[in-house]
Amino acid sequence: MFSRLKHSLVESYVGALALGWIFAYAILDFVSIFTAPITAWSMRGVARTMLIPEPTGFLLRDSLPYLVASPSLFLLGYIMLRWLYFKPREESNEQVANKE
Amino acid sequence: MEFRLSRIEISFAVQESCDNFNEPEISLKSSLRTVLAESHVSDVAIAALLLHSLNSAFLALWLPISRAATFICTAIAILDVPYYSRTLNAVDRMQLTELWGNFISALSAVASAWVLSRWIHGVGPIRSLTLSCKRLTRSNHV
Repeated sequence: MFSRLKHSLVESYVGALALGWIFAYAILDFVSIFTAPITAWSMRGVARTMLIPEPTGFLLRDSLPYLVASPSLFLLGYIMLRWLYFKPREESNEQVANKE
Repeated sequence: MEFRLSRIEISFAVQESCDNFNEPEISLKSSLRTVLAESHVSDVAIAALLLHSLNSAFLALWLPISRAATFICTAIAILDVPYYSRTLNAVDRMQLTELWGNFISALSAVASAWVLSRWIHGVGPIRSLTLSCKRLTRSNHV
C-alpha cells in the first residue's frame, strides 16, 4: 500500500511540490530566526512613540517559534525526500560473489 | 558563466541518455544536491521563494502607492493641493514598520532563492527555472 502511495506521489509530482513548499518554508523560517528580532526591535520603537505599554522580555524570544519550526520542517522534508526519492543501493554482482 | 551553463546542459544530456531517466528513485550514493535537482524539489522551492518575495514586495509597495494614488485623486477632485502632515503620526509609524518588515521579508526570500539556485544548479533562480521548464517539456514530449 505504501509503495503504491509512494509511486503515485512521485509520478504525479505531488511529492515534489509538497517537498518544495516544505523546504521553501523551512528556509524562510531559518531566515526569520535572524530577522524576527530586528522587526520586534523596530516595533518596540513604535510602541515607545505611541505611549503604549512596551513589550518586555528578551528580544531573541521572538525568534523562538522559528527556531523550533525551521529544524522541524527541514527534518520532515529530509525524511520525506529520503522515503520518496532515495532507494537502497543495490549490491553489485562482485560483492554478492565475494559473500558466497 | 559559459562553463556553468555547459555543465548544466551536460548533466541534462546525461540524464536523458540514461536508461532509467524516467525512474524517479535515486541511489543512496547520490548527493543530496543531485537528488534535489533531479526530483524537481529544488525548482518548486525556488519558485515558492520567488513567489513569496513577490508577495512581500507587493505588500511593501502597496502602501506608498495607495497613499500616492489617494493624494492624486483627492487633488484632482478638489482641484487643489490636499492637506498632508509634514510629520509622521502614530499610524504612519505603524505602517512604516509593517512596510519595513515586508521589505526585509522580500529581500530575504530573494536572497534565499538565489543561494539555493546557485548551490544546486550553479546559475541564478530565473535561469534555473527556465532550464528546468525546458527539461520538463522535453521529457514529456519524448
